[in-house]
Amino acid sequence: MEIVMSDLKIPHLLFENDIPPYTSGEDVTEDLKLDALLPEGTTHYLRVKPSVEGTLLRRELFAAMLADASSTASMLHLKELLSEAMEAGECVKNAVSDNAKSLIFPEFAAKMVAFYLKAATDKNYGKLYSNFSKFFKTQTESEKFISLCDRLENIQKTKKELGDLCVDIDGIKVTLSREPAQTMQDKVAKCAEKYGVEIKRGIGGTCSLQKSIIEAKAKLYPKQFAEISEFYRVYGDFFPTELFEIIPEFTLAVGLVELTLKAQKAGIPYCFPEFTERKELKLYDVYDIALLLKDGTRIVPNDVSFDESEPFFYLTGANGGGKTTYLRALGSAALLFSFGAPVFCRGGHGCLIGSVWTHFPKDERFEGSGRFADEQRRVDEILNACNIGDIPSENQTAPSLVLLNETYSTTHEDKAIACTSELAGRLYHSGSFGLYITHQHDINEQTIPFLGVLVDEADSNRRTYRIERRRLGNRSFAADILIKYGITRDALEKLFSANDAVN
Amino acid sequence: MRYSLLYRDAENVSSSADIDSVRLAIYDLNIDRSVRAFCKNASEAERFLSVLSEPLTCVNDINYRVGILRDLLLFPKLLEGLSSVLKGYDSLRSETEEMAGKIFRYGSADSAAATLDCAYERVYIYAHFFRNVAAYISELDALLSEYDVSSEGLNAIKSFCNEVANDPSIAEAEACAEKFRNETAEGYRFTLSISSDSLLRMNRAELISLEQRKKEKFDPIAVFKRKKKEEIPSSVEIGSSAADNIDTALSYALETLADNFEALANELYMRLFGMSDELKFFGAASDIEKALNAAELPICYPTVLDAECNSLNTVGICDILLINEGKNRRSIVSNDISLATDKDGILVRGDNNCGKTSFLRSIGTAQLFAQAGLFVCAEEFEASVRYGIFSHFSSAEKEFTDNDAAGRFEGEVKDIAEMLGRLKKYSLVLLNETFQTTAYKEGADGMKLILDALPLTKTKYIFVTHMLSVFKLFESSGANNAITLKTGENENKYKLIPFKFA
Repeated sequence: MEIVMSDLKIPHLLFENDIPPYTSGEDVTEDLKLDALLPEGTTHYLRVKPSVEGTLLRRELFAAMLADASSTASMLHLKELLSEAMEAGECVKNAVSDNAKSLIFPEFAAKMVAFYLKAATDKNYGKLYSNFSKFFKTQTESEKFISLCDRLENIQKTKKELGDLCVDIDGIKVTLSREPAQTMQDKVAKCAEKYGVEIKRGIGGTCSLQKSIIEAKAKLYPKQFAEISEFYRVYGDFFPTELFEIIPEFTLAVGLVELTLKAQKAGIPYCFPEFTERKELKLYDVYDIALLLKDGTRIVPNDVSFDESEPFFYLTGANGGGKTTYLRALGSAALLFSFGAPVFCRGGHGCLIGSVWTHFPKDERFEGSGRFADEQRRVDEILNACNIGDIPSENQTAPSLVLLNETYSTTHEDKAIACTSELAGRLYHSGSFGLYITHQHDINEQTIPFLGVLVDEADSNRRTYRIERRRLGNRSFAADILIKYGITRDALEKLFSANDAVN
Repeated sequence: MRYSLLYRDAENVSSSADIDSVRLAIYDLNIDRSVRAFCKNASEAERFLSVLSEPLTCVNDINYRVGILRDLLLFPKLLEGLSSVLKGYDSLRSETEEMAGKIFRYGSADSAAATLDCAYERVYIYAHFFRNVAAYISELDALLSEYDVSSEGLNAIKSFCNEVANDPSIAEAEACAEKFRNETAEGYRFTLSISSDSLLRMNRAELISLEQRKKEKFDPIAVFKRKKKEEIPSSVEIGSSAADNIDTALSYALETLADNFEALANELYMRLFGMSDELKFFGAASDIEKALNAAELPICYPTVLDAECNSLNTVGICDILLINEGKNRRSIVSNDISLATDKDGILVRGDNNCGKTSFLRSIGTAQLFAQAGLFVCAEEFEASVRYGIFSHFSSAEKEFTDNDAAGRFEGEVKDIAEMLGRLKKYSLVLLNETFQTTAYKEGADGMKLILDALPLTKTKYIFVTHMLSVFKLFESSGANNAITLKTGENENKYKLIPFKFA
């Protein structure tokens, strides 16, 4: 018995089975700037619940793609074929009549056939891709697909037999011909050109041909339309439209490979860190890939080390010293590592990170009760999602990673210190990994370890962008930045006396 | 002279304020959200915001606008009527141009019949344009004469409309325009006045009259022949191409007439053009007034002083954004403040969610409203004009592609430095939790430096902060010219009260 394609389970490119649930925070890819680095509408896949099996399969795919210089072009070609087919499919779906559907369907079918034939060609991209192409290979060898291809050729010929048409609709004469007729717009344009006036051409959007015209054409060419309609009747449901849902998977795969190659060009290494059974994450020379959005040529890498004895850190230090950069490097690495994508570091190992959460400052544009309340609400969301209660939870095999960036900087100092200490304490004891960037130097903390950004005080407080495992002095070196932007008493007096002269 | 509802001198409109900074302030103060929530009509809200982003700096200009606003709010039917009439009026030209753009020239460019049809269509369109302009002005005259308006602006418009409506020359031109009733030249008998040069080349052709023909087929030759018998010198010979020739002459006459109607109509039209768009500002203001009334909040027309007075005094000022949260007079706490000439600014501290930002918003909003010629949400408001209105609200990180800023604090410093670079004399600077992105002590040092320098430009500031060190620094400096306020507690929650840092 022939298996109808639409009865089959559509394969994913990046997942062995169904897409797993999303476990990481919604803002995480935006906060870590991955949204700006990867194609739009694809980064949500990075937030899925990871599994060792799935991660290893994707790792195999990405490694193979990176080893084959033509992989991105090949994947892009597949994506383009599928995108074109989707566009044609939309037209079939939205066609104004059955005859219109029949007339458009062969175009859609031709694009789908091209995609199937290309997708059926196996590449040495690992098990995920093999499963994917095997599915299409089976389909292209099926009797129905072969007969569809045969008849498609004939139908294309039949369509060419449909000649010119001239109809009268509600007193308006309409001509439909292969050779475009001279239009009113042509005449207007001719006139406009003569007088040096620019006019707009085209309809500036998509507009279906009137139903009555198509129906008239069907009446004029009944034999050909019967043939075309029959083709649609037989094969109309052959191609499952669910297939289009995998387009973003192609886009992400290509995006990740292209990003890796771009980073490599900028001298940034990548690797696939080893998995360990132990609850730890130890990566060496981790790069903040987001800095590629800026200059990207002088990125200072740092090590990352989390384990059961030190799962959580405060990070303090000079403004502009690289705290947020470190946080982003860590967050991106954890997310990419758990997804099975290349990680931008020199090496390392770690356990699967179950979810990644970020808490960054937001604009003051919310309803209700102010910034602090909004901050607290977002903190609570993270605590709830990570299942972090007041009582320490049992050891998690795939710990969460919580990244807090200047949380509680919207209230007075005493309250900020109290809130910061309480939140950090809860996270430290929760079994989650985490990092808390803060300028609250007066935190009286004995348990939670500190990381600090190194400043070369002997060299005019030069920022080294190095992060070290130690608590530094209670300075954020804000004055350096004020001086850099001319905010000194003398400079302001000079500026305002000049302004006074101008105004 | 062009008339305007927004500007006393519509020919020379320019705002001396830094528009980008004001737009940022409108955003930071959430005025855009309030306005969009209060206004029923989205385009009125957007127009209102665009006017608000260009504060007036001349007291007379402000009073001009205030006068019109008061008239329109006093006579809501007048506002309604003007909206309706001016909406149609302002679309006249675009409609005319659209019609004229559809004139279709068929056949070859030399075809006289085609040219004639086009020429007639043009005169038909522009004669209607002229008639419509005159009719709308008469309608405006009738509408305005129903109300005893007192503003300088509306009285000037009223006077102009009355002059046009009663002008006999306009009435005569209207009578000519009225003759072009049919959409095509078919069915008309034209009378032409033609003159030629010494080589008998036609050098002038003007239409004398046109009349509706009775079932006769249009025949310009016949007209020409009749005229020839009566008026044309016998030396003019009519050749075989006479029909085309007459068509061409008639076309020329019609084209000329069309040009004249167009020019005349345009001249009148432009005097009042654009006011429907301007009226959106007042429509939005009316909606805002209704929202304030519904919430039973106070409304007053501010006393606006010259910039040199450099002061701000208000009683019972409220934050209109709170209406969006369903609050009203009973739940919104008002504040009083007197920022006299000899005071540099205001420092505000207090617990979260106790009204600090609301206070900042209320002052900023009132200042912008006052300089837009609007009422303000206060029992009393007297303020001098500000040449610049700047805000800095602590926010999320800036666009990441900004190459220069290395961190959030640096981003803030960069913004503040840019703001200081653009600062004008007699500005108002509104700062909310600035420099809290570094160690508070170090942020406070930086802020003290800036706040100490602002008075050099006669700029007033309001600074809301959690950095208590700032207050310490001011108290210990010995020359504290800042007013220090803190939020109240219990029954005085949301009320700002003066305090001294102990």
